[in-house]
Amino acid sequence: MAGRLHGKGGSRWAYPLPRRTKGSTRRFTCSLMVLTIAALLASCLGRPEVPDTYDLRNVRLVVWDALQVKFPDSADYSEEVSRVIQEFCRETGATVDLRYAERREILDLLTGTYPKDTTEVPHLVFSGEYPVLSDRLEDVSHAVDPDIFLDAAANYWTRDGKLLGIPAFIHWTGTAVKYQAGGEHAPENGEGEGRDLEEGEAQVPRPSRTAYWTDSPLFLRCALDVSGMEWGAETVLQYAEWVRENYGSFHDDPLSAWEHGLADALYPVNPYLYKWLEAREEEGSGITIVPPGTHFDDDRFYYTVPAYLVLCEGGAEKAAAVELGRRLAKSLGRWAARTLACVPALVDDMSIFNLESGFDYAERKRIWDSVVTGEAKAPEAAEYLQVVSLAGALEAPLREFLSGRISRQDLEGLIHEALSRNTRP
Amino acid sequence: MRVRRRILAAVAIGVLVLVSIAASGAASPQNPDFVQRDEPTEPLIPSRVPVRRNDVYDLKVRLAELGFYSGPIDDVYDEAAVNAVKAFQKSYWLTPDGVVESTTWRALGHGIVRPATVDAGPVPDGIIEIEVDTITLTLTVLVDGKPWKTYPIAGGKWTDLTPVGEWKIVDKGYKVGGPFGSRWMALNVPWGNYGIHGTDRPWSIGSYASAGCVRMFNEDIEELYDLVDIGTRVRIKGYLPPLDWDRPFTYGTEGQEVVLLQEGLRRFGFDAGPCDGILGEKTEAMLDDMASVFGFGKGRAAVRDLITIMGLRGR
Repeated sequence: MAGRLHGKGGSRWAYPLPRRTKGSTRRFTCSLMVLTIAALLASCLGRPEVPDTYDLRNVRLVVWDALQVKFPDSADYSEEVSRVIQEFCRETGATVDLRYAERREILDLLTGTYPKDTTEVPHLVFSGEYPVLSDRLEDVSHAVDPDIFLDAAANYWTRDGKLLGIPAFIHWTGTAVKYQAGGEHAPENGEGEGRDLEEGEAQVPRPSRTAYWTDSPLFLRCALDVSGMEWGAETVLQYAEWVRENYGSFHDDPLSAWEHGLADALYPVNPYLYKWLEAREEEGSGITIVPPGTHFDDDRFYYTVPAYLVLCEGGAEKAAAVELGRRLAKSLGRWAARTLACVPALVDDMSIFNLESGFDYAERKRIWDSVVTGEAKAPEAAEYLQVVSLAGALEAPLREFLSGRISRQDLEGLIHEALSRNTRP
Repeated sequence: MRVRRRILAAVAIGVLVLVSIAASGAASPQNPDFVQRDEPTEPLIPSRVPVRRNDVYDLKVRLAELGFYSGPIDDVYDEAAVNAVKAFQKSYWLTPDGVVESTTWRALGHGIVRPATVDAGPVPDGIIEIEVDTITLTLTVLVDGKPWKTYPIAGGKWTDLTPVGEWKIVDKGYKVGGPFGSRWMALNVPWGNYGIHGTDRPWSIGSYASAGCVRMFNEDIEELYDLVDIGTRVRIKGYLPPLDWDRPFTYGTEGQEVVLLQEGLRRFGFDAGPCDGILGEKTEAMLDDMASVFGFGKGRAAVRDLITIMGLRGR
């Protein structure tokens, strides 16, 4: 049956129209209502919580970033932050109040110990290098596709299918080892870039004398957390004995021991310290970074994934915070890859790490292997606080034991005491 | 009744006058406490020799220049110095008693001519800051960060170097006299009383003669005095005294080492505000932040590591 013709002097288009009866109109109305309800439900329950576009012109964002180290031969990250924010404001019309918060303040904010009534809670905050989960974190997966990140980076911030942070880079921690050109620990000479390593080729060089910091927050975490070990008396004790046997006695001043040639390795070393150590090496010698290596037989780097975190609920503010966080995370990831030799979180930026980190193939592969097989996740605030508290309580006994001032038995007793005082409430 | 009112009014006026005199005295102290240690104002008296005082150094330098003294140049007022002073006083028709007070100091400076300074023109509008360089012995007035005019100064002796750091003017004094010359301005250096002032020993300008203060010709300090307000920033750079990097660095620590620690923090991107030599809240927070970034713990060991990272050890 042909439809009606529209327009003057005949129609250019003719299409069939259903004949409307009383029953069909009712059915039509009912289906329309069902569809409308379904659409409303979908909008409430489904992922697209925030529409694709928002008018951000009246949005004012409070952003807390963290200061990054200025190295003499590298770009100043704060200038990059200013550039990104200016561009964001120009394009969206939003305004941004940027504040460089101290890492302690950021941690207090995320762990819930920040005095809420004394300051304005930011919409967007940098997590710091040792991040934690927080009840305040917003899911950003509606606007940021987790697939654009390395699995290790996205998994670090994913809980129950929600992406709770916008990853910037992978912050590794390991042992810095000094080498002389052609010496025992000398790395690959760069030939064969891009090829697969032969079996055993990327073996981790082991130093003979290692200076270490027992008071570093990473001293125990690198060993226990990377292998998923319990923070129990037996594991801590085993680790302490392993350190004494493999790293040697405790130096009061590890950095000075390294500087004066009393140690040829330093632990734990993160990208910032590595960068500083590397810059001081003379030509013909250098350093490489290796995983801590423990008696738990796990040769992987400990890593965290610093990210930009959105703390404001839905609406234009959240859309703006996510968009700015995405831009800042990308920018910081690139800076960290170039300046600190970190792995950027974005898959597309891996070439920066490969070409500009300064690591040779064997070094990159060692880090990369940890990232591929790593299952690290941002700790819950309570868990993090407990670990920090326990590490603090264990520091003095460990130092005493590693200095040879107390026996294994004494250490065991002190570990038990510390554990009993730092159990989870 | 009318008489009583008049009496009351007269008493009130009298009280007001007394209060205003007291207030004006407080605003222009004649004898500032802040430089007593560095620039003693009491006369040098021969009956008390030998006496050790900072101003004896200036005295001996000048007596030697004038040919009255040929002994060691130090800060000890001894018999040889007393005799030189007596000879000088005699030649200047002063009472040859060996007492060095304002008249003798004035006579010692007779004939010293302040070198002509470049006419910098009127002061442009902008924020005024002062930069003192104890290596070139100059004080430069900056307007919006650009040099406007430079003056010659005397700096601290090698044993009492002028404190390097970022200070501000916290007080000003008018017609002080004596070793402070015609004006003085106090700096907020936390570990001593230091300032910028004029002098009654103009021959010392261009040398290391003071006990740490910045000395200027009286004409120059008078010009500077009118230019700057309380709160004006004063950056002093130059020679450093021997430093102790093994001392404890905790909240409230003061000293030249803290200034360098603050400069180091700024160089590494952790600006703690003015390098004012006090380990206060902001400096402590920045030290914690930088230690956290490098993966160090907290406390004394972390500061020791940061000192090494900043390259301060050995300075």
